[in-house]
Amino acid sequence: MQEKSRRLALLALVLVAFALALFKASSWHFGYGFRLPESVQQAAVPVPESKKFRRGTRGGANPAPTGRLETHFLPDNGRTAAAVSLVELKDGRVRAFWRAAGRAGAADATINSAVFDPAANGWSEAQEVSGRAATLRGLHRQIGGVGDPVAARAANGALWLFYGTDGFAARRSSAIALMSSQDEGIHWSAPRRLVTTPFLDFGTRIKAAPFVYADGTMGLPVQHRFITRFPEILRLDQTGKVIDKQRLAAGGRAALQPLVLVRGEKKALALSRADNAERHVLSMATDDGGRHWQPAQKSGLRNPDAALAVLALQDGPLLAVLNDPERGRESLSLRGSVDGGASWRELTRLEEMNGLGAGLAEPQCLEVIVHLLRSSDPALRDANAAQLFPRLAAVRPQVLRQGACHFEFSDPAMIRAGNGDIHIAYTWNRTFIKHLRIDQQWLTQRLQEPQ
Amino acid sequence: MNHTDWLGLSGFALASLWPVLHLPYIRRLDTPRRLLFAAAGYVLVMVPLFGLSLAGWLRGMVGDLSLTSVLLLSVAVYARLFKVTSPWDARERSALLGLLAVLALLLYPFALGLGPLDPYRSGYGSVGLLLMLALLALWLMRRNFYLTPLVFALAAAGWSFNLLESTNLWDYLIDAPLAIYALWVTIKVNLLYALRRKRAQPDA
Repeated sequence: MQEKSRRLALLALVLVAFALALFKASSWHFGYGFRLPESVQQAAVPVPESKKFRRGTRGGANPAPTGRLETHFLPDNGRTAAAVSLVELKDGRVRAFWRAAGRAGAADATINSAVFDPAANGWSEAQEVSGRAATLRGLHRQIGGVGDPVAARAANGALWLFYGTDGFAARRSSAIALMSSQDEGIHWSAPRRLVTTPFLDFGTRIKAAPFVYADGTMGLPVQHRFITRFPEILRLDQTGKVIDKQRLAAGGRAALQPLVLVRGEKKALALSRADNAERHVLSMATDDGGRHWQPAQKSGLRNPDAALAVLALQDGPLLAVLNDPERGRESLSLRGSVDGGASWRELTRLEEMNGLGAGLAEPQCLEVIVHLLRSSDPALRDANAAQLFPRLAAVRPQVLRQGACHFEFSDPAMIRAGNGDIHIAYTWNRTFIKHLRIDQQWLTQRLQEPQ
Repeated sequence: MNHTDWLGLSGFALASLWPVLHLPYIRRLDTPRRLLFAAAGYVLVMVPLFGLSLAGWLRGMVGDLSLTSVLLLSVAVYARLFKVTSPWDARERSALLGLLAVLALLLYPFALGLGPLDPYRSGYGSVGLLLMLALLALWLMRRNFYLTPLVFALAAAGWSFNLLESTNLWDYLIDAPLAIYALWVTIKVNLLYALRRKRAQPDA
């Protein structure tokens, strides 16, 4: 009798548990299709004539475009900066997040943030958003340090900040934490772990900006990096919970760090750097709103297996910021495509130090660094030696290594602001974040130039 | 601390307590003292010292344990505390661990990149996976197995109520340490069985 009651109780438990689970699963549906980025406002913020300047063209073949292209360094608080991410605030300002590390490297790294005000044409002071201690307390678990940040605007209007966390000190960005802010990044919720993999809960690295599906859920391109490597898209609901994941490139191991360019309600292009001898960016397309992605194909963008940033403009052109395969990370270009990514041409060379550093003695190398610092930020243009010293002292050990000059421009991020301005930021010589702002006029003229 | 953190940390507190309860000194204590010791041990493992608890340290290394692990550890700790035998015999345990070993072989190699298909994806609200588990649970009950249906029901109910940090059903059912244990036990049991059969056979 007791045995029978036990059996009936277990049967009831099984039926109720699976009925509940099936009820939950039946409401677990999401659609395919993309939400297009906000349309570009044609009335851009007026640019005072005095602030406009011309930038030289390649070999003088084309007339110099008018419009604005200007650069700044992000605020530095004595720590090396890397892995920048940009997001536009509701009032038109731009907030940047980056990983700042001190002498202890990954263990004392923090996620820092600052705001760029287009009207004042300058950056605010840097503030610490999160670090190892705060993340460890929030996640209630051991972490080795914090990794790369990625910021995004959620469909509900909140600002979300994803960042990598390390389970082990030696592994970078092996899991993802998520914080949200309802006041444009002034205050943040406690971090929350996104569980993305079944084995020991690590091996997912984040790098690229998310995109939004038509139903308001968010797609987050990530890289699986444990035992094998392949690109994936995580799908998050409007509360930030993972509701699906999709493997890209049929699990192809050469495709790394995917970025997704939304080109229409059903069309998108995923681009990724390639870990193979091809030295070309790989592309994967979808024509059915992300339900299926085609296998990876070689794109027209050449790249030395380094991080890149891409952007789809409202009226069709694509932009990419990336290193050049022949020049490695000593060179960084802004490239544009007006034929959907079939061909790309250089719009401007953002940095070019290829071959210039090798063979330079220390004094000449320092001179070059000082010149680069002055030309990178108007605030440093007329700075005296004492004012330049902190920046020079920070960048010197990063550039001057093993008796030679090693320049590096890497990890670009790019967004388009509501007024049409393009903001680009990247890691400058493994030390600072450099910010570049170009206006629509400059870009339009460059894109319309004959090949 | 929310319920997912509490449950996640408690799994590691149980995992830490279980071997300690096997120490000869603890085994000789009477039941009230063992209970007191276990309660003190639980608090010690759960309370953060210098910003992090021992359970939190283990959680950072391994990730959350599944509800299956939490159930098995809870029963093992209970049996050790009250000196009672486990409610499930060797046949029940072998069936569960054998099934978990099969699930581990179906899940982990493919989820970690072997081939283009990802079975872990089916844990995000797949009706097919739920129906398969439900039918398997009912079939096992007909065959007089109770532990495995209980484990499946617990995983399904836990997933329905978001008891763990993960939103994936697989994480409620199985975890890496449990998978390794299940594979080890299953291989060992089958190997011993094969050896015994070989010895029992008369020489040709």
